[in-house]
Amino acid sequence: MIEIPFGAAEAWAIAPFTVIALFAMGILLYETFRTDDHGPELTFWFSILGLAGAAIASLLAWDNGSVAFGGTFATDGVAVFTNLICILAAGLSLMMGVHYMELIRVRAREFQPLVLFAVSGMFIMGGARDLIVLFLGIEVMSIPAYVLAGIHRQDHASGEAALKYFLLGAFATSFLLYGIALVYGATGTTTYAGISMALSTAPHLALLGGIALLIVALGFKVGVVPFHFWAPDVYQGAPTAVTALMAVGIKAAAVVGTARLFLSGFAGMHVEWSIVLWWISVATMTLGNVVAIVQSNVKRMLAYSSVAHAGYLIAAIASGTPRGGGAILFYLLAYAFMNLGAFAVVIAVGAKDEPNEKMSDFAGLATRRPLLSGAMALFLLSLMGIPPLVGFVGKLYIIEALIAAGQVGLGVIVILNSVVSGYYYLRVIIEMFMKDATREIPALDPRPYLMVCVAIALAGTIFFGIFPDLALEAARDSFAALR
Amino acid sequence: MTEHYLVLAAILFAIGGLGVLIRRNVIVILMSVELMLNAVNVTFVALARQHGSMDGQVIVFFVLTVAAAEVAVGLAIILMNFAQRKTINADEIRLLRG
Repeated sequence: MIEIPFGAAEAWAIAPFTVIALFAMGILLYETFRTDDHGPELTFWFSILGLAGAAIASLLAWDNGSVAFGGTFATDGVAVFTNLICILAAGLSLMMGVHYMELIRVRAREFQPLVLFAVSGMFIMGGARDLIVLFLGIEVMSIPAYVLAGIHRQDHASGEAALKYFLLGAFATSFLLYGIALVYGATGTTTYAGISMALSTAPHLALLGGIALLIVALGFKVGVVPFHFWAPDVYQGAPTAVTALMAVGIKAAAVVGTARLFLSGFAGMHVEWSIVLWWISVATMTLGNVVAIVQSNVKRMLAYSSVAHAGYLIAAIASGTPRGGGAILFYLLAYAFMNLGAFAVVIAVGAKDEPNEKMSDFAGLATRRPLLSGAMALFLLSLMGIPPLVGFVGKLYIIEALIAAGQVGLGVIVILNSVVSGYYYLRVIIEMFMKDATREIPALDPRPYLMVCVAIALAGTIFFGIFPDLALEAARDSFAALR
Repeated sequence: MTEHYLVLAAILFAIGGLGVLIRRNVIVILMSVELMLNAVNVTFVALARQHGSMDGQVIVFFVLTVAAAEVAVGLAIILMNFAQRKTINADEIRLLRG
């Protein structure tokens, strides 16, 4: 057993999630003892304060050289970048939630604290350099997410989403742990540093079995084919503000956790695992895109589209290079802005007791809500990968990393898939701009928080599309410094 | 000797996994998942003994704690579904399809 010290490095390592957990508990206590009926605004701003504090703590803790807790946790660039993406996802999801919870008539005061608790789990995943820390991160992130998926207690779809997410998540957890047990049995350690040193001498079969089980479990969390079947149901059934958090924040944390494990712990076995990830990546993007084409519900279509995007991210992991890692981080940033924006628009189109999530509900939207439709069109074009939007730059760097790693075939498949994805993204745009409304839809109340949310997502989608350099450099440097 | 424990754990894990896949009562599915987690615990303890380190035994405490938290949330979710539709049969809980 290693001696676990507690010094400055440890204090900084836990600072971000300590801040966020304290804020979450504070809000929870406040909501418990305040009995009069009040709006969500005050606690919303308090949550934003907590997220901002966590962002500052992450940036202050940024130190590529040091590892904390006996090498099991890092506060390097990868962790800080992941933290910031997750903070962005949580902040915008909370912002959508302010109006959305009112829209679906849910008075759930635990919504904001649960989001913050889930974010603290994402922080743990981003910095984990030990399989057990990774496991704890996944659970701290997932358990609040199970509750969040079912937070719309009157809605049967929400309850079903929570049940499916929980059962499959718990099932995946047992595979994760069995995988960890096999790797521990083969190498005698659970730290990434120890594993990478023991790879050459460890019994090969046990190690391969462990890696296979870890791929299954992490594949469940990321939502890749053939372990994706829960994703569309859960994303469609969960309240949209929660879906946005799951599709962006949880996916980002899970992808980074996977990338760090494979690019640092199992780097020495790249030949073995990259072929598996290659096939998973191709199957995921192809199936996600093809099935998205036949969807008639926009929220479900976005769910399949997020499965397809998971495929692009896994492709970058399969490249096995730090360059691929940098491309993953930048793509996650891009994906966060454009996907959160698209979900915010889906909420904005809905009215009380009318979710308006069907494709036909978007018909003729441009004449009634020109700005909103324009924003949605830009988000969808960015998801498709059209320059000069951020989605294009993100895909470009994934393809570039694949070619640099000699995986030209995979790069070509990513491009072909982007073309296929154009079909269903463009379909929504055609509905909005070229069709007439099929039915009368009442005018909506102004919802300032939602509009600010769309505006922030739009600003990010355009800004990082035109000026990607700074974020890209940061993403690349952080994975180049990965140890 | 360690092999015996590992084989026992593998059998338990397989029984649990089979239970998740073929049983339709949600409570029984949850119990099967717990069986899988306990199979993992047996594996960890056996391997810790083999390696002569305490790591594996400490991990078991983490697994137990997390499993307890998970069950607390999971039973609440099952209860919510039962209140909504008066059934906990996995085949009857299907609204979302396609």
